[in-house]
Amino acid sequence: MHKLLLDSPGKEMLLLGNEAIVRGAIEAGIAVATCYPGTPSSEIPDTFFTLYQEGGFYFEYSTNEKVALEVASGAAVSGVRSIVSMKHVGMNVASDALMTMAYLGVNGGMVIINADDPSLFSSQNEQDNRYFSRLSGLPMLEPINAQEMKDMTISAFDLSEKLKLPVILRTTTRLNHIRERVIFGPIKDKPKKGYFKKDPFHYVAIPAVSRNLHKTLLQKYDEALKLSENSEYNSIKGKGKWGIVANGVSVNYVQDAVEDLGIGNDAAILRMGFSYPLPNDIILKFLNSVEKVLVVEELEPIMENEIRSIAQSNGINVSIKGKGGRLFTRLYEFDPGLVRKAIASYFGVNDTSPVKIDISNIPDLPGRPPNLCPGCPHRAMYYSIKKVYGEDAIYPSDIGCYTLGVLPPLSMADIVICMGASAGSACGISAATDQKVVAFIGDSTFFHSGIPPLINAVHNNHKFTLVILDNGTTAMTGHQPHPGVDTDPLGVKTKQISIESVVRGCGVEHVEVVNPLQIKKSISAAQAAKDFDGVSVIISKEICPLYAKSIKRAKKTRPFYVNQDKCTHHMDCINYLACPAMYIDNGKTMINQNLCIGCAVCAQVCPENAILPIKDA
Amino acid sequence: MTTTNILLCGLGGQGILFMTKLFAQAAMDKGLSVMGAETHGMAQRGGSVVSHLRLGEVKGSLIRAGTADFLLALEENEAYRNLPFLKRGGSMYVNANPGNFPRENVRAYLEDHGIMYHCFSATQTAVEMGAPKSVNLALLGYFTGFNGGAVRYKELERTIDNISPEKLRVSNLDIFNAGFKVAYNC
Repeated sequence: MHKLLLDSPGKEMLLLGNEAIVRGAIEAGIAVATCYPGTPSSEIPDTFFTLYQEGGFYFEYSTNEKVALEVASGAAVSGVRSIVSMKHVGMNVASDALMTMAYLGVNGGMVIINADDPSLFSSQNEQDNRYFSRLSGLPMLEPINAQEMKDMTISAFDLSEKLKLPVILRTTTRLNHIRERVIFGPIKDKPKKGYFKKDPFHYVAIPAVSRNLHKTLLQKYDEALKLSENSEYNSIKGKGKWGIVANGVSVNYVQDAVEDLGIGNDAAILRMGFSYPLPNDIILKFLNSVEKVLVVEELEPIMENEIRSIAQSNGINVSIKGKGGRLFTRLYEFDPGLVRKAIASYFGVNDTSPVKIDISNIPDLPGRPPNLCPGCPHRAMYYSIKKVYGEDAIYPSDIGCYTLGVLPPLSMADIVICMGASAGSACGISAATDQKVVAFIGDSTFFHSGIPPLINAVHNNHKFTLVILDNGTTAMTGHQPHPGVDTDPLGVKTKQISIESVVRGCGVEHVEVVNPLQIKKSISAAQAAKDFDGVSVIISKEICPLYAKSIKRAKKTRPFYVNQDKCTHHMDCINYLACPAMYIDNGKTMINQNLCIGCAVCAQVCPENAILPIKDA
Repeated sequence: MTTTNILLCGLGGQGILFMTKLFAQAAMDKGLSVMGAETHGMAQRGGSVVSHLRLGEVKGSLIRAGTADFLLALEENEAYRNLPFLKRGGSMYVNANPGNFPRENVRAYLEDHGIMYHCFSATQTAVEMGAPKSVNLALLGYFTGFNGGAVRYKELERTIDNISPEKLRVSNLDIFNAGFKVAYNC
């Protein structure tokens, strides 16, 4: 049996934060787990995926976050425990369902795992999803380490059942990808099958019903507030004239800084773990016990403003600083040095931090943007499209590995907004300009939210080409399956939905499927798409080589080399493809044979036919 | 106990995460409190990857600038990029060509700060042993050859033996030991 499924209380294991959440869900006795993968949440569904067959619960990679939340909601109203995970921007997609599920409420516990990404390690924005708890009225818990990620997941289920509301567990990248020791607890035996009891005047959100449900939601807020006031996760640590309020990872940085600076006798720390609703009485007590307060929270000044409001309502005139006062910024994740510096400066303590080494006199450190892999089929398709449409066409792109094509020399992304927006924004650009437009979207993203804009394009007579980059997997987030695949990574057969059929079903009249590694054929497909008057679609179909390797479907190929006798230094390979396997050594174009996977695209691009497969290994 | 801060860096795909896991597991197995902060996701497509490892009774998973005891770099430029994490008197272990390491304009600087630097071509060792992807294990072995860390050669060797995928177990151990010998013999 998988170690994460063992009913062995007291067992200690080194876990990734995301794995700790999964263990928490197992201990809580979940019946249903759903998701749409997205960094930094992806290891949650990927771990569920490796466990579900043995674990006796239902798991799915849903087509998008809204669907995932709806599936979990259906299970929760039927009386079983369900969990749904997504990254922060996924909450935007899910929010339509979220807002009204707060009205409907649940029977079985329902936990929404939300993974924020301060510093935008792998995201298009760094929105602060603590606002979603305020917007929806749903309680929010915020862990500070891997042990709590497990324990709070269980608490979140209990809380959800107590309040009959979904509960949001908010994490950040730093927590999702922490690796730490976690002590296991017992696994609860909870029903795996539920029963949907009809109650249309509770579950059918028509105006007459929802007017009452809104009232109920506000009553639940009062109840949640009481629980927050008494929660073990909202606690004051230490005593002193200086007050520090913190949430999430900042709590750790604050504790380390207070210890290092030796101000343990002067500083009291209020840790907010049950962070919505904020506990009014605890805050009041805290404000009355200190002379000044520093609020340490990444991103938006949410606690800071709410605490200031509590102080104002109660006529407390204590200095409250954080983002206001410019001690902290609303940008990016914090680091321990920054937190320590702010604490030292606000409370007037001598900061003995080591001076940061200045490396500005070390010249020429190369930038390290992430790159399309050697042999990536996206690179090949970008080459062919640019050959036909040129530099002046507009290239809306989407969310996935292919977004990495934004960098020169490929320069194949002109606008990226969010999942599915390539096709939608292409409609607007083609309607508002006379420029040629070619939009790119990945296969998983197409299923996620690319279909409605494609239907919109056809119905409203827009004129552009949509290239669907079908590499047979959700590559960027770690090779999860999607509706277009026939087997999942464990080799289990799945019902495959043909992208081509979907596209034709949307009314697209010009559709062509090509293998992007065949450059001549791809160029002629691009030309035909360009000549078509209306919406044309190219399905660029070739498996992700990283994925192919991991599921042992990689073709046997030989790496290539540059025949230096033939090479006349056109540099087309370097200048148009920029494959990481190619490099220039003393003016000579070379191929790193450890990196080359033998896709042969450069060989087709070379005007001198100087790039050849290595004959004898 | 005192805290030991170890920073591991390199490029996406070089196996920083596996190295982190080995270190953390070995530390936990010997009863140390351990915390690691990893880089996952987009940066793994060839971008800069950094793992922070903190052994000892600390709360935060990130190493403060100027407080790392050890810096292990799988790529030379990434070593320079992450220099600000090293404390005065810290040590760095770098996968680089010993012929031209460290760069001239860095040498004086390292010496001013009392930073010990060690390098060897882990890439060459890994390639010669037929496992070009195992640069991480070669450097890890090399590091243990200096016997400086809170986690020692035998402990890491045991962890590699325990958690390597069966197919790679022997090769991983061989390359780790090859790296160890380079350091041990010098």
